[in-house]
Amino acid sequence: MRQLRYLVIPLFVIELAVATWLMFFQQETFKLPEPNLVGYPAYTRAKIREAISVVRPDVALDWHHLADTLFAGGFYAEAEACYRRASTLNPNHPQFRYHWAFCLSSIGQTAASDEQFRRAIDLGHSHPEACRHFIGLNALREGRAKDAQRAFTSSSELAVSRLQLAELAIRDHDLTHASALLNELIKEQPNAWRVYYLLAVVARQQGDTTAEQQHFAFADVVSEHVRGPWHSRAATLQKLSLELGVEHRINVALEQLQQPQNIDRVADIILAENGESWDPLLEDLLSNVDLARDDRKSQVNRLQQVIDKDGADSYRTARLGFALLAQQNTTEAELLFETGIHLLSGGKSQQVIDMCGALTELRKHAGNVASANQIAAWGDFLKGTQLLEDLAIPEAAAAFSRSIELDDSRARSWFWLGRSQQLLGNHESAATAFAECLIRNPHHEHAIRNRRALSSSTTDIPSDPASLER
Amino acid sequence: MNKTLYILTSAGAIALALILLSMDRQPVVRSLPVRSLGTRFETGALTFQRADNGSSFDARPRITNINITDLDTDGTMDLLICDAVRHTIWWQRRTVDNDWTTVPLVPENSLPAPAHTAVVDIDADGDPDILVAILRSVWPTDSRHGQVVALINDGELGFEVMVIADDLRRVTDVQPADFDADGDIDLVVAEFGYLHGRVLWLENVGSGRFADHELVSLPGCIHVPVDDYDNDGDPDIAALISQNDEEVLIFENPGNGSFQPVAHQVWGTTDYDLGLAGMVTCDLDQDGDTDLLLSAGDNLELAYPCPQPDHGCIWLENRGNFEFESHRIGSLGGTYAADAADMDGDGDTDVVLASMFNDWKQPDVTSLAWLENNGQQTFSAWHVASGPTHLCTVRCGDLNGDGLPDIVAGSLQIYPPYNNADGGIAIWENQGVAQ
Repeated sequence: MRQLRYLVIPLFVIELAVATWLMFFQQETFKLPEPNLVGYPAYTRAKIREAISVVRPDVALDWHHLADTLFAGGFYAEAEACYRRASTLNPNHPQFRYHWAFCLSSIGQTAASDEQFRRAIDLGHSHPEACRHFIGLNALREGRAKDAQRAFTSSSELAVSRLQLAELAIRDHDLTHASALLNELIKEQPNAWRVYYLLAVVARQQGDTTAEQQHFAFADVVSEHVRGPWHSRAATLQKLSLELGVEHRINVALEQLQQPQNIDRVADIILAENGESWDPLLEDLLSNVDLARDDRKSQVNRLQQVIDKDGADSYRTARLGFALLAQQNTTEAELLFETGIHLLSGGKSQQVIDMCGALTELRKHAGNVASANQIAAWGDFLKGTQLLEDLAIPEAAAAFSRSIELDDSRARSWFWLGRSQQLLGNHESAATAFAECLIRNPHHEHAIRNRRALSSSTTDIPSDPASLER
Repeated sequence: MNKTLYILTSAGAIALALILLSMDRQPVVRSLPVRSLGTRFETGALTFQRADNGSSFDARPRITNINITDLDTDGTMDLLICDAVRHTIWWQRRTVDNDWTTVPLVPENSLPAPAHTAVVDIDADGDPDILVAILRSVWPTDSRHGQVVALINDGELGFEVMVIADDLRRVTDVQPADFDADGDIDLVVAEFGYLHGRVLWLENVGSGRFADHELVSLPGCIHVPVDDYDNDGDPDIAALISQNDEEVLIFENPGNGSFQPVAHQVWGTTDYDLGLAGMVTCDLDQDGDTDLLLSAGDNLELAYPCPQPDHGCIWLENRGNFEFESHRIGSLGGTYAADAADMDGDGDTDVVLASMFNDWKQPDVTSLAWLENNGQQTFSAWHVASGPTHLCTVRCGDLNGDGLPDIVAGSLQIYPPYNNADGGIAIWENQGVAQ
């Protein structure tokens, strides 16, 4: 009996302790965030509400996914709180810490961000060098150059960290070190504009104007970034962000419009999306529904309304102009094409080139050959610049040549023909084109400089550079 | 023995009851602590009255710049407004009835995304012409479709577009001065571009033609205010460089336009994310030399901009010999523009700040603030307005002729939320100190 008592007493003591703890300890949970969605497109609002609705309050991964969605939607404060919650629920997950740290850095909380990047390293994050790189970036933001230098040195397996070290070396006037870092980098990333730009800065500070010009010329034609962990994370979030945006909705709807049986459903979705607000993107999409229903009058009215309410750009004038052209309304289409070609806006050169083609045909049809040639020449010129931006240099040179055959009065057409020929290593043709440019504009500084360089048997851009391989 | 058993049994029963009771209890639900990212201020001693200037926009306005000038020389200040929706410059002026009239200086769609204006008699015929920086695209691109144009005045305030320079990347600013001291007006151009850009000056060679001279090749130049920064009697050029470099350069003019190839870097930061957005000249400490006011608040790296703790206004105090001392004088998330004026009439120079990227999800954050100078260049920040939001440009000037500087600001609405985005151009009349 005594033995039984020795067993039962501790058991009851434990029971009492547990019961007391349960009475006084109150389990804690957190309300899901309620971001202010006023002023956001209906589609974005719905997607974010959906993301919130599926979160299980005790599951760290759910909080983490919600944090990503909120971050991608621009709700940074709420995202930060959710990343924090995910890391509280699962404190040993290095990737949760890493993403939380990125978010903290994005809202300017650099000290807190550093702490979480360090914690991610301690927890065995698979890319400690990325964590150290971010710690370096945070130090730069706070003006702690030495700390940044230490961090980038410790992550120097990343090209982007070495680029930062080169930038810091230039600031410290350590041009030899900067030059060495940059020349190594350029071997790895031959189309990185920032590396060429910094090489030019180094050359300028060393007083080497030839090298400066050469590097600036390279920097002027290449457009790649030295990518690093920031770009990787930003790209992931950007993709998520696009999925939250109306543009994504539009793309999905456009795909559905390919099937005639979907037209009414798509129209309902877009109208519901528009709600009480008026959105030019959705109106533009609705005009596709009009077209699919063969209601061309409504299509034209809608596209006209977009321009009346929210202004013209080349994309919008092309859309309306071609719709009018399909209705044989050539007079108004012509006016719109003229406006769209002049505006040359909306980031869609191809539409301007298409409008040039259509307007050329209209002018030819009207017997106005001189005007038709001028417009066709402008279209070819734009085509050339577009090809040059894509580094399709032989094709660009051909487009500039076609443009000049139709209208040889523009100095800039001759200049860019010369530039293309120079890039192709055709120095004689390039010199001729620069000379023609200078006949039309004797003050064209780049033509003067390039012609001078060619005549002294040196070029400001080496011919056939490896970096310009397509 | 029985007593002991009785006590133990009771204790066990109580413990079990407590456990069962605790199982029914609901967990405590707390709000998730969320940081506040937006900036808001208290209202100060000055009162401002929002004036109805008759501006209306059917959709989202995209005002890139507002300039205050007396274009018709009638003694009252007018507004020149760069509109990237209608692609024109609006001339807004006050009528004798205290209303505002607004007319386009050139037909709509003539000037694709104008970014800046400067008034000068470029053709030396005795009337004011207008220089316009043509951005062409508000969105980033390296396409060479930027321009510098002049609106040539026919003497009766009719304007004709003359292209001065093309084949440029996006142009954000153009300013006039006689750099080579030959009696005509030359220009300095900020070719912002995107990944590639330049600062160049255009030498007036007569007959409406200009020869271009590159000062520096680097992207992100936003503003190029001209002034005599070294007090030697000739115009120098300051350039605000954003994007990757976040610095201020001054190109020293030896007097004949032969600028030195290496500029004075008068300010710079390693903070690649500071987001420099604008620069204006002023003499903030009234010591007779030209200082610079920087606004920092651009944040377009991520899909949606986010206000940062380091956004705000920096005063670069001119200490002579191209030495400038920087002072952070105000913090406002997403600050995009600043201007200086004696707002409270106490004899010192105050500052007005406009925010493009404050946290607009919060309805009461500040879009327009003024910084009150205590006379010793120490500033207190005060709230003027919460809307319109997305303010890209701000200017101060006496718009109603009462002797007090008023404020005009323009809204560039390219990012949601659009929840307090009333009006594209807003005027706040300064009512002075509240009684």
